Amino acid sequence: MYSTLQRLNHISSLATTYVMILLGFISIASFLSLPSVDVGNVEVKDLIIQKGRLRRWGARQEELASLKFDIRTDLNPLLNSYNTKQLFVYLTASYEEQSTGNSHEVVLWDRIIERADLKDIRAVGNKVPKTKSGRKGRGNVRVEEVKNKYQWRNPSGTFKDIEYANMTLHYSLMPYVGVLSSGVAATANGPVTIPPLIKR
Amino acid sequence: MFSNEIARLKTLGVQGLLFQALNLLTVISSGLMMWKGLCLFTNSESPIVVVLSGSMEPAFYRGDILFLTNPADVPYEIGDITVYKIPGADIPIVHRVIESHISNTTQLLLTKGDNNPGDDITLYNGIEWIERKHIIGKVRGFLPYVGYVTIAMNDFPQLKYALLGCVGLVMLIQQET
Repeated sequence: MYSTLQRLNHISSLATTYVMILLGFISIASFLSLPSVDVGNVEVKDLIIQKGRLRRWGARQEELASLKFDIRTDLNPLLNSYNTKQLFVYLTASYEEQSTGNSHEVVLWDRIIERADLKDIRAVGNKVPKTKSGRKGRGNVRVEEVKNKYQWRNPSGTFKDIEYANMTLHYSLMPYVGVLSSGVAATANGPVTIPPLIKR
Repeated sequence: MFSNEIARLKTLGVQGLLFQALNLLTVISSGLMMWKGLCLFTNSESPIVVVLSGSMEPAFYRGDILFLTNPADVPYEIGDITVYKIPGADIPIVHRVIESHISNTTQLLLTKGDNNPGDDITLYNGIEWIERKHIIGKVRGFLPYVGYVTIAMNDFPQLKYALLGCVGLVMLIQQET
């Protein structure tokens, strides 16, 4: 009645179905049980506006903003969640033009934190307290005196029209399987005023 | 070798054969209907895509499956992973939004792959920004490895035809018990 082929077919289809159901449960459960993060601190230093060019062939001269910043936040709860493959943290500036009301958002800096990363995320700072075990500290984001990774420009070519910008560090969580989620990891204390252009 | 099957085909007769063909068509059309229904529901022309390049590693590798949505009135946010298709290019690209400039008429976007050193301006075929019309959807869900089947079929077209032929033959020969 039943051939080997039929049995094999039956077993494999049953196994596939159950694995898919299990994966569905895992993604729902991990999405619902996602831990919350204490919002950390971003401190902006040395924000200046000067004339420059994008690193691009044939770029015209325009106003570019550059800055240094410190970040302190703890993302360990997210990394310790069982369905976390990777965290992507990125610092954004969001601002509005006064006259037109156009709203802008740009990424200034980003970093990938993998689950396998045993180190802290630290850039230049060396006065970082040592954690007891390497695994514990991997989600500690301690960044000091780092420059923006991407050039910050405004499509109109000038920052004259902009009074202030809000700096936020976001995270984006990639699961092993399931739903992607994101949130805020750190914010600056209030908006940052955009200084006038430095003329040379 | 196939004498049994041929004998069975003969016993089926023309009517039986047509009935089996109809069954096959039902399966194909219901699959198509489900896909198009999903397209309508997510408002995306392709709600499920397979990752083809390594530019988002280690988040997405070749062969991972992504589930997309494209709600009509919600603007894309910075940090969203979008799938976009530039006119003239045949492969959709999965990259993250790193700049968003909203005016009262348009939203200009710039994207970058997490694993790439620079932004995507060189991939845009002469456009300076991408806009909503280029974007297929935003990535909402993730399923690893499963899409490798389609990559294998694209790399070895014979495999695709062999598989399709086998399925068709089995459907025709199979007798309902």
